[in-house]
Amino acid sequence: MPRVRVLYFAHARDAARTAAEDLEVPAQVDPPLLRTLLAQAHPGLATLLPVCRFALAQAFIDGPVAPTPGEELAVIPPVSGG
Amino acid sequence: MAEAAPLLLGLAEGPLTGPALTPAAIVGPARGAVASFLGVVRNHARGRAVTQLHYEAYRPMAQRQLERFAAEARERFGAELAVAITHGLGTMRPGEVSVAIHCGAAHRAPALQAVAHLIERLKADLPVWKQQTFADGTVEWVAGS
Repeated sequence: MPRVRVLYFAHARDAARTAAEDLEVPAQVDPPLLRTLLAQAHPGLATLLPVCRFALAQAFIDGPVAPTPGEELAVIPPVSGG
Repeated sequence: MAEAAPLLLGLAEGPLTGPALTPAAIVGPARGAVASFLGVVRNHARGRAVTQLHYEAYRPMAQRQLERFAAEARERFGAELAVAITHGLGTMRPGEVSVAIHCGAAHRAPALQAVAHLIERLKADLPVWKQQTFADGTVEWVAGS
């Protein structure tokens, strides 16, 4: 199982109480699975995760992806730039 | 051979000042139309007085997203489109400029449309978040624009 670097931003960081951590994930993941895994790791994130997107190696995840060990997996709560 | 149209894309520390505010860097003799958008920090949100904002970003992805947005804009509005986008980060106050988008094209329709398109893309898919401080002292992440 690859170990990825999970990054939390904005209100996701507040809810998870960490900015970054290493996490072992299955060889293939998709957004629903990530929501389940991260809610297990951080119950405080459970209400926010349904509206979060995810990015692997700085690209949004739309479907199944196969992470490479050490890749960044970002938890992207609703954005508010611009 | 003519120079490629400029792409000037990036993040800045603090509110935008000086060169980022103007389209001067993308003015050129092949581009008869230059259009701009500036995002300005508002002093109110949903009827509540806002005293300051704080912007944060997933910086490497924000840079890559700006590059993707500009490439898409060139596919849609012409390969010779010049694009300058700067998003400020950190603490800002009402009246300060948080983002600037400038586009240049041979003609006005693509330049104007590209600016309108890019601010929508940015608001939807740029990994940047703002936290508002209200006059009563509460601090909240904006739920999403």
